[in-house]
Amino acid sequence: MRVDIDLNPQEIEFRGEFRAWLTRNIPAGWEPSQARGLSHHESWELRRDFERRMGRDGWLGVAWPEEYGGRGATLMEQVIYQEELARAEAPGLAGHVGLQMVGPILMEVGTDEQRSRFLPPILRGEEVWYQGFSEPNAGSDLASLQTRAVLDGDEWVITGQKVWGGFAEFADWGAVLVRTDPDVPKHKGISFMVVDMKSPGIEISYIREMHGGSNMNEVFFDGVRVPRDNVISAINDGWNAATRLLTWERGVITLAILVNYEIFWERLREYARSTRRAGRLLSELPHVREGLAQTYVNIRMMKLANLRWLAHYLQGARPGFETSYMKLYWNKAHQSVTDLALEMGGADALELPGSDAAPEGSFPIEWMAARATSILGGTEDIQRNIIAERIYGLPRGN
Amino acid sequence: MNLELSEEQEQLASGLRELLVGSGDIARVREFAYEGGGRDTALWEQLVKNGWTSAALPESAGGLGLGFEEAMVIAIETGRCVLHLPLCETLLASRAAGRASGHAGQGLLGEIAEGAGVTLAVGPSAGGINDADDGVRASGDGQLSGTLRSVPFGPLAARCLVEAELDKGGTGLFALACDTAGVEWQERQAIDESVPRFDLALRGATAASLFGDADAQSEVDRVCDEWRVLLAAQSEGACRRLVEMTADYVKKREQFGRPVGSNQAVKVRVAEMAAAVEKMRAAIYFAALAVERESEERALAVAIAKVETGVPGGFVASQAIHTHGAIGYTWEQDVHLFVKRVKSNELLLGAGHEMLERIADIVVDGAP
Ligand SMILES: Cc1cc2nc3c(=O)[nH]c(=O)nc-3n(C[C@H](O)[C@H](O)[C@H](O)COP(=O)(O)OP(=O)(O)OC[C@H]3O[C@@H](n4cnc5c(N)ncnc54)[C@H](O)[C@@H]3O)c2cc1C
Repeated sequence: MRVDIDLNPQEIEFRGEFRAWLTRNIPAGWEPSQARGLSHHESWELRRDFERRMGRDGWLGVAWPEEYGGRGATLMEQVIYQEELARAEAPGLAGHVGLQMVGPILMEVGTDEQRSRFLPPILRGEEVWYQGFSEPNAGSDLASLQTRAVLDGDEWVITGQKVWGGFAEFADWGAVLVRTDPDVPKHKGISFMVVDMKSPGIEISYIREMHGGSNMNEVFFDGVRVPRDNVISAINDGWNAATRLLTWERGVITLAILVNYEIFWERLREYARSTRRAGRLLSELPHVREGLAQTYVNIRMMKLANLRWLAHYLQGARPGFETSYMKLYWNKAHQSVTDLALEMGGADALELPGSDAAPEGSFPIEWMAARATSILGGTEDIQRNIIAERIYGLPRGN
Repeated sequence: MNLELSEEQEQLASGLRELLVGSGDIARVREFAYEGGGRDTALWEQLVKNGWTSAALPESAGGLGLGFEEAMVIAIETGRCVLHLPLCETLLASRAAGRASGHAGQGLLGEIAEGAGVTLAVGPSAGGINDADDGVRASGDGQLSGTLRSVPFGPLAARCLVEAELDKGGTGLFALACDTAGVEWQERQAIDESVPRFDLALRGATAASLFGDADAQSEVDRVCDEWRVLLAAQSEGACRRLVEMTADYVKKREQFGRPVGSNQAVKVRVAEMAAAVEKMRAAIYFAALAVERESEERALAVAIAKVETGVPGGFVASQAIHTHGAIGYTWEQDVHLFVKRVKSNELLLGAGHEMLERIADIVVDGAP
């Protein structure tokens, strides 16, 4: 057993230190009740400011190795870190694409120049990244992407369209997949480029989501010029780098998300303990008890299964196809706990946040958000294909 | 109808579908309900003119005299286009008024014949969703006071049927003018914007009791049961449309050089959605028959219809989003409009487990 389930003194100290820091540094005006009234830009400014402070005090990239300026935090410390952030209701880290995806990839395959140029500002919370992979016609079949980059002297010229990524408007840099060779099999002609998001020729619009908010962007590239050296890994080797990045997205990042489900579940429990229907507490009703128990198990198992694999990574193993399991457990945990929330809330759960009847934790919004979980980061069906075909060698469908 | 629609009933369905699709279908729902276009008087008047709002009135009162099976057929169509107007509620009010004997019932029938839309403030929401809720009391001379939460359509209807506690005890059913003195409406924010919801505050508002001084609890229960069936029928219509939209989409959407619908995983999803919907259809037919024939099995049939459109409705809704991919999660795609109606109907007037309890009381304990 390589995962300790009890905290050691060093970890307890780590928790105390970070908690104290958060208490002093969560921006005023960020309390859920007030944050809702903030405009897109106002909330962005608060988040950026908070993140710079985190960076200044060494609280970003805690999992990064010390040689790149991180803390080299243990697995347990990473878990603690995510828990404390979530429980303090800190702003979600806008820099997560840089911190959790681009950073690790650069450490693995970046050049020395790229590392020294891009890693420190990510760690200081100064530069934020946008993930530009999906296209309108390249979703599950990401490798069929059509955004083109053509070399013109010392610069690449990019033309095409990306979709679904968020924070495009605010991001400094884009990690963008482009086709650099259209004449070879699709996986072999893709490069991974770093694009200055303020470049001329980039146009950004918002997509409205089913709950009414807008966090996703469409990004149009029209002759956007990028220096020749802004390619991560070799030219036409972008697919490898990108799949590794997606692997991280399905793996380690789920730990951060998981804490939110734990908190959501605790809210549900409190709701059950304090809400009466026809004279009985919800927490006394057999189906509610069973539902709470089952979703508890789903969430706990998502955590345990992830910790099991993460322990391997800490021993030096590279994330692989098993991250597809993590994505399945993640989806199950999220969708089941939000299904239960609506069932428990009944007609009250149909109310949007802000209404006096709406239970805390905005049940319907969370229910809707959970519908996206089976889609984002590679759909549930694609994960199942990976498990069946790559791990167990079933014949490939495509 | 013998667990299948008659030719006349099929014609009824296609007639209403033509009208609703012709008037703009989903685009119209978006314009008026979701994008704040205000009261859709034009479509309501069209429904009035073509006899749909008076469909359940007796012929003697100027209606079509259609029964509950036909009301269900109409409800399916309102679900198919997530209609943003109180047509189903008006049909239910017509039926309740038709069962009443005195002036009040006659008055309401006359108003519906003239084109009044009626909404309902009865059942679990009237009695209070939570135990903290207030409810409404009637004074001896028919003045209503109290509060009710989350009444569908509220002041967008002309009349409201209100359940209230009678001062001598028992339950009354009152016809209230939505804009009369002592009535206040406050809009809520609910996910299904195609059914705007309002809190109702009553301070001595004058209303007419449909059943005089008599305890009308069984009438209220009946309205609620009929309402459950129409909600279930709406969900069936909405779910069926989701299956059709999804099947269309996966036939056209290509990934890996072929339609995503050619993958077994996607076929399974579509097939399971469709299987759920066909079962819903049988459940709502059974419930409509049981109501129409005043069968002993009414309570059971109604609960089954609610159960079969409840959790399975949520399943169809979730699968429809998933199978559309990220597009299905957007506002622009129509999927979410149906999803929101289906999830709402699932939770209104008793979610699945409450209905299962009702079923257990009947089939396990032998309750009537
Ligand atoms: C909330 C959210 C956030 C996102 N964030 C980002 C981001 O930051 N950056 C980014 O680049 N992208 C992002 N995405 C996009 C996401 O990666 C894609 O939506 C996803 O890969 C699926 O692609 P698609 O939406 O085009 O669906 P499609 O690929 O069109 O799939 C449609 C349906 O067909 C199924 N399907 C397709 N192929 C197969 C197959 N071979 N076998 C079985 N079933 C199949 C799918 O499972 C799905 O149900 C985000 C999406 C969402 C919903």
